[in-house]
Amino acid sequence: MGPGRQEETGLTEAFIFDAVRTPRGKGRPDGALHVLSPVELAAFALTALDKRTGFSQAAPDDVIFGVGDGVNDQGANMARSAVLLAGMPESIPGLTVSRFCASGLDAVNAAAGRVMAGQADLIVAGGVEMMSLIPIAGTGGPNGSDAAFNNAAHHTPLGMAADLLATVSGHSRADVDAYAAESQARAARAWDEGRFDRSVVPVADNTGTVLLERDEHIRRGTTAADLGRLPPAFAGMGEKGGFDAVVRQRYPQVMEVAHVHTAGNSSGIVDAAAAMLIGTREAGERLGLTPRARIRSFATTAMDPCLMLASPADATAQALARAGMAQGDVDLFEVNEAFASVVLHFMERTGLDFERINVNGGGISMGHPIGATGVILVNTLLDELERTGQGTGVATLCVGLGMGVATTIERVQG
Amino acid sequence: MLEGGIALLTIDTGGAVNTLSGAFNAAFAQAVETVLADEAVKGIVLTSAKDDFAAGGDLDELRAAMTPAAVAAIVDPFTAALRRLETGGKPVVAALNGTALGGGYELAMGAHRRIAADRPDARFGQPEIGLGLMPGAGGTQRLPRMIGLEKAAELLLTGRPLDAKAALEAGLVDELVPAEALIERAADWARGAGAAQQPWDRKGYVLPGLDPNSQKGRMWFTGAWAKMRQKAAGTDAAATAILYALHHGLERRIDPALAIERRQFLALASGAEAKNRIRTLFYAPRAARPKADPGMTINVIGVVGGGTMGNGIAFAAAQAGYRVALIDLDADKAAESLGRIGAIAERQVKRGRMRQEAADALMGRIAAGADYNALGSVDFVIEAVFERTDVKHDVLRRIEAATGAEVPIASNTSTLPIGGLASALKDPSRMIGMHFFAPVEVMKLLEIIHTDRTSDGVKRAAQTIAAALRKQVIVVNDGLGFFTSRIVTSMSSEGMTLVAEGVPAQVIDNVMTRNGFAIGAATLAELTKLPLLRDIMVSMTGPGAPVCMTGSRGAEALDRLIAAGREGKLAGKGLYDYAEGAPGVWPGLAELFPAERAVPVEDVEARLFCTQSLEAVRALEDGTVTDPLTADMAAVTGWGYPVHFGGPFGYIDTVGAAAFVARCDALAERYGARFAVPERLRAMAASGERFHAL
Repeated sequence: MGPGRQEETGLTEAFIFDAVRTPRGKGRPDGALHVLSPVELAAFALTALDKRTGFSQAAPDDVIFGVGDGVNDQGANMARSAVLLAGMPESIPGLTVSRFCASGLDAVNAAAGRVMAGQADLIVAGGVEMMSLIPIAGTGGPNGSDAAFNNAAHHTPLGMAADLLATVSGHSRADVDAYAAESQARAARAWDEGRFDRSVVPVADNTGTVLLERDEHIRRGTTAADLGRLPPAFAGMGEKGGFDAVVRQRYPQVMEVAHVHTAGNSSGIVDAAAAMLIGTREAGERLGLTPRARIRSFATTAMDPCLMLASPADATAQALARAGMAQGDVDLFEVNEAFASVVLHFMERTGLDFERINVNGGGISMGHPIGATGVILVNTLLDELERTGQGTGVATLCVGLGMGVATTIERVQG
Repeated sequence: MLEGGIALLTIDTGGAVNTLSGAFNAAFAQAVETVLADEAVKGIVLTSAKDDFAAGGDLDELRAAMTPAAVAAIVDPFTAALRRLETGGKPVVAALNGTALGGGYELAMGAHRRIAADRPDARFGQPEIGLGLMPGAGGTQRLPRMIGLEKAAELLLTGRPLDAKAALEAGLVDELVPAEALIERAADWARGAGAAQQPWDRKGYVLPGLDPNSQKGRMWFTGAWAKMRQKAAGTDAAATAILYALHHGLERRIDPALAIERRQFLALASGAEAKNRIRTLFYAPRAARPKADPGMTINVIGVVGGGTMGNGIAFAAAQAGYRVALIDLDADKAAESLGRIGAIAERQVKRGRMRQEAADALMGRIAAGADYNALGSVDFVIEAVFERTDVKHDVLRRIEAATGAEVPIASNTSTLPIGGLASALKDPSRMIGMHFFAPVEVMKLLEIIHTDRTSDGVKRAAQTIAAALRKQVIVVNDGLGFFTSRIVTSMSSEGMTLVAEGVPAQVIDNVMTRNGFAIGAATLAELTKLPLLRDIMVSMTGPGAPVCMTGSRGAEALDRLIAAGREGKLAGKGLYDYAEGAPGVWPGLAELFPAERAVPVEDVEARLFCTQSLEAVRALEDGTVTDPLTADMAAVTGWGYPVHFGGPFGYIDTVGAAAFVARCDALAERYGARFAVPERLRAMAASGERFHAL
């Protein structure tokens, strides 16, 4: 291979060498990972990656972790804190990045960008979220509580935005439940066939006791009929809380908001961490690692924060344009299952076949550990491309306040 | 000075009640410095020479303050003096001899203790939001520091005043004492208080109730914001400012908190929305107060017609003390009418608005029958029969035959020109229009219509009756639809034209409700009943039709809806379906009226608002109305026009005449000549003139 520079752009190529993730624990007081602290969980993922790659002894330039709600035990700098708790060299710095649900993917993109720009050779991109400890939006922020900001941004809670997206897209309760049932079926099949085995590392505590081996949120055998019996999750905030009226003010064509989303067709509240090693070809060679994929491009977009969740199609289009690729050049897509309507809408916008999207389930079946999810999506995508012998994939997420992030990867042989 | 070194500061401004003006504020600041500097003064009692303690700020002065700096010049000395007073080290007690509202209650909160005279008519609180304002002298900061965020927010956001007992319970008042013991008790407290400090100035002070930075506190603010938007969409700047000041103020110490409240108040008080509300809600009703002629003797009023309007008018007239001769079609109908009027009285008693004895006396003043001879001894007649010219002509002739030649005759009608009705009479100068609004016993508005022949005496008689009925009047000159129905028709017509173009009904409703209408044009049509609205549309397109009807497709849309069996909400089938009572989308609407072209939502909104304002300006140009102030009020009280715009005239001032004209020019190009801009308005756009100076 060449010197690791793309001749035409003068940029360095950023490669993925390996990745790990913890199983996703239920984000509740009885969740298997709840007894750990966020820094312990982050350190566990770093250590697991280090065991497989030895990165900690190769003077990595940085560790970048995505954290959705960085406050209290999950606050300050999770990346540097995890390095120290893991007992890694004191010379390894750390950075946390936050863009709500895309924090993990932004960690990947930030790492790749630094490598591409020639400002780093080896970086760990990871993410952590213990939603059992820090609730979603636990950091506060102006959105929600600041009336003047809310007026300007037309504040809409996530679940309301999901129901609004379903309403304006015409998704029925049956549509979203059918999607969710399929997500469960795909996740179960993926586990049964060992498709996650390469990347999932069972979590053990300080005594060596294994706390969790498999995703805990998954509900095997769930049917659309089962899901149909769940109560709507956001009808209360819509009807009694006033948010139905709020979204109608922004979308006057809406007569009645269809509260189709439930705990069963929305992403699961979970605890998890993930880590991925990214660097130049040479940095990998020094560790004896073979590149598994190159990061081709990434993009960030934003839209109306009220409808909020329709950005993955835009972000994907922009990322593909940056890579000079067309939709047809992509083999597989990981579209974060924040809510069923998000993925349904993505399929409508892109015209893509469901057979190429979220083939091993996703956030609805296995959970969406906010800060870690982006890393998990890229990891899952890469494993599946390898398993099926395919070449390219896109990972994308919708993001709070109306944003979207997407990343394009391409497998490399040898 | 009272015994024991207690200084008595007595508020006594000009006028019937204490109003806190810039001059008062300066004098107060001076008085505070004097008592703080006087070593002989050991404590301070604040009280009033008036029946009230202080009823609030001087609105004349505040509404004239057009910039934040001008507002600051009024309020800053007061705010600073309150802070000096509460941190001066000397115990201060507010002896609340009566009502303390707005700035008056803020003054009381600057004291270390509030002792109130126990009297049933006293009220306490911060009602500023009712006029689009907020407390601007510490009210949003001291109140929650006293009673907690949630309780304070409820009072600030509703403006609800409390009586003495409720104020004591809520913590707005520390102590209630008999009025005669008030000053002595206050002085006693001041003598025994020692060095005084406000809780929020003490070390280790903890805010009672929710902390805005806790998870619960943030959730509370999110919920409060959503409720506010649900109720008022984006039309309540004061509520936003209050929530903002509570949130950010309570996270900080009192001085920066006051600075946060101050800048919200300055922006709000100098802004268009508060000016609009103050003008339309406070000043317009004064201008609309009828002028009773004390020399005029009116004892008996004849009311002809026993429908909803006739019954309501009879009730209101009897309530005002008149004897009423009610004429209905026959004896049975007259008895039924009496029954319905009795039901109105019963409702008033049930709601506590009237005592049973008063209701009985009221009913005793009404005689109902079918014989027009009963009108022989009346001083004034109001006919309120069915809205058809031939029916009214017949009734008017019978009234003429039964009454003395000098007795004024008023027609209650919402659209029929009075001149046309008067033509049935030998003497048309007896005729005047009195357009009441239903329910008459509730609605304050009365549109009085003069023809060019109406005699001065008849005009004075109508004003005298209106005054006795405690109405707010808009006086207009005759014409199709007068003022109110003409403008409402412009809105309904535009709404139905949009329906004809294929715009969904809920879009028409939602763009109006999000701008502050209680209901939109589609729902209004549903409640009016589509066949009746169709008749109105047709009647408004005849000779003398207003410009707003040019190119109207209202009648066309309604004809097709009625042909499809759609009649409105009562029928369960109209523009909407009513499967479970609540309106839902009727899929047939889109089939009946396929979208002819894409009408952007912004255009839907602009058309529904601009047509009203344009027609109002034309009514001013052609002399139908002469006074934008009462015309705006009529819009707000008559058909629920959003008060934050002031009214259809205030809307143009708020948008700016130049911007409004540009918008209408674009609409005229896209949607037709009914959006043509009157010359007067184009001139105003060039000169920057406004309909309302203040």
